[in-house]
Amino acid sequence: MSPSRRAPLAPPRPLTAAAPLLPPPALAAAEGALLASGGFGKTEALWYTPVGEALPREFVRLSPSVALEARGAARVARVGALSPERWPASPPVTAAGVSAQWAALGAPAAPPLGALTGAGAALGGSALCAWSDLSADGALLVWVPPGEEGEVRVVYTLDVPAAPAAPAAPAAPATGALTRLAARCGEGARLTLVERFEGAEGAEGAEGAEGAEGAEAAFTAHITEVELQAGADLTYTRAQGAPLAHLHLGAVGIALAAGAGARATLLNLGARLARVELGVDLAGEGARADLAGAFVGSGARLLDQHLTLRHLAPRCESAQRFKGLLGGISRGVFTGRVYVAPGASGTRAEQSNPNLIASEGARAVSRPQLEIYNDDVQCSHGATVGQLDEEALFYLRSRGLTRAVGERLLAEAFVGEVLERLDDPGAQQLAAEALARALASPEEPAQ
Amino acid sequence: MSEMLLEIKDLHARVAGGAEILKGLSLSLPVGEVHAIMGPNGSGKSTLSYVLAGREGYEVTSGSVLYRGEDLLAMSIDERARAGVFLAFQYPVEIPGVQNGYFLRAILNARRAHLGLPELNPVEFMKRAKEALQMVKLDASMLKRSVNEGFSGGEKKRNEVMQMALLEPTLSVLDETDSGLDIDALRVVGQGVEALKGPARSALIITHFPRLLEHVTPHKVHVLSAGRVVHTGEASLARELEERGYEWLIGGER
Repeated sequence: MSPSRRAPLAPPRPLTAAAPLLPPPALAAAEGALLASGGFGKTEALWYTPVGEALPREFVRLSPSVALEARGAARVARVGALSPERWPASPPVTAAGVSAQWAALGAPAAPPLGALTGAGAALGGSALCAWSDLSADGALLVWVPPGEEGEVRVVYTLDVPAAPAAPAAPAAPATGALTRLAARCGEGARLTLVERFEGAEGAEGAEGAEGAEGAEAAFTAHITEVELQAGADLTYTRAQGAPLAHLHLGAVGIALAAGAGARATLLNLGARLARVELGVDLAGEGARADLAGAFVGSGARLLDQHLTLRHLAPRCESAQRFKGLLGGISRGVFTGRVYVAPGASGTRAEQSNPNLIASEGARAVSRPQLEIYNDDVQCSHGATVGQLDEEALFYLRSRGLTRAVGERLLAEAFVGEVLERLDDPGAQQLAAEALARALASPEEPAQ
Repeated sequence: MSEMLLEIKDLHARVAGGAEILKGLSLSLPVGEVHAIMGPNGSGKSTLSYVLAGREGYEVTSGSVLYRGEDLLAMSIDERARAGVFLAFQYPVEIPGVQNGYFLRAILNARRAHLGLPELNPVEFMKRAKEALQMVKLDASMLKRSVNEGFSGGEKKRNEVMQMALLEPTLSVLDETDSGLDIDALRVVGQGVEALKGPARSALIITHFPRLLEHVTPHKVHVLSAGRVVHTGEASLARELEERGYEWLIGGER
């Protein structure tokens, strides 16, 4: 069915976009249908996170500015509009454009748009992916040739235009961008990949009682796909520290062939609503995934992490450790689904989701889900919700540390085992700021 | 009469909402003296140490506590600590994830800031820490472990005395620091406490058994019963209590 036939399902979403980035009309109509009726609206996976309601109905498509460092054997190309000042010309985000750029990097042919790499399947069913497939603004392509080693660090920055000073002035239009990164590692290749999402806080970014009320809606949506061929190795850090005015939608898909390994650390720290999906396919025998994350909430933020980890081959190992620290009246949601296929004998899977509630109004929702079609497995999961240990706090204070310092020490200790995995100073900085915000009492803001 | 560091007058206290535990306790501790507080279980020894440290959940219903002439009860837990009051815990708390070395440096610098002294850098701190560790015969590797986590009972108590040596408190309150210690650990802890005696420093050693007092000689021994000091004697009283028990002093009070 062509997208244009689906248009009657919902009125087309008007786009006040800058001309070069405007998607073709048929796609816009399909996007409107998707946003209004389908994927983001009613699925159980989005029960706690009203993405459909929060998305602006009208926005200007912007390209975030991208600061990129590549080292070693990692080769990087782009399609579409990312950092135009730095990359003067690139093909549009089309199947032909993507194929041409993979070829230019010397990478083997890959599935075109819809699944930029073989890792797209790990994100199957994601509404964000469906949307992005229709109209991504730009994508980075990374290729590490077999047996080689490389490093890529990317910082995406989308600044929100300042809100109008006078209340009577017309509101500035919302802004947003849909971007992607697709990385592929040849056999035995090693890649260190860091992605950070940042942006300057506007005056309305301070966490007062008003929160983001006065701020313009803006969103960043970004999909990361990593395909690891046999024996390849990935170290991945994703740090989301978007301004409070933002809505952040993220998806990370990682597909591992036999003997490949991935160590991923995800920080969900910024935006007023942030939803990050992580799909990992252990598709080849003996693949390993070591996943950890921290979500640190303050104010009225809603931070949602949605994991799907599939053991599809024998003797794969996975570990998931996601820690929530929630202050203010923030909400944290963790959904962790582990699927073990009938043929995946010798599976070992661990999952844990401890949450620390740092204030009375904060809440955590934890939804571990195990789906196992095999007897030869060792699986464990555990979810807890607790508060700062008053006994420990008394001990620290009895040694002369103030309550605030004691709380910070205990909170740092709680997320410490996740944060100590970080080798990126920028990500560490975002985490430290988020911790300070989460622990700031309403009467005395950290800023 | 010598200058008083701590003056407790007619102190009444309870666990919030519960029955009164301290029922008119009075006690004076001069600067530079070490006093032992002994008494049977349930006499209020631990409550006294918690009230002095400022633990939440304990209510002082009447009476006063003056520390260097100031109202101790008006100060917060951490203000008391920075002002030089140190409680050695009966059950030191395990704090997973907080590195002991980091913790020790933070508390030492908090105390130094209060005294108007500059922060110690990591090198200076390590020198101090190693001296203190040596005194209580703890290995330097414990600096890298989490605070008290996985420590044996003896190691925890040595760690308390080690913190005391680092912070050089004006008033140390040792809450049953001798309980649960084997003979070697007891000697090390006793020597540590003895070494901390000084003309400007005072200590209250709260204990059920007089074992620790074989290593530390107190200036005075107070016997606590049913929330009050019922008898005060010289150091020799400890031995007498060991031989005769408490019954002859507290009579029908319990």
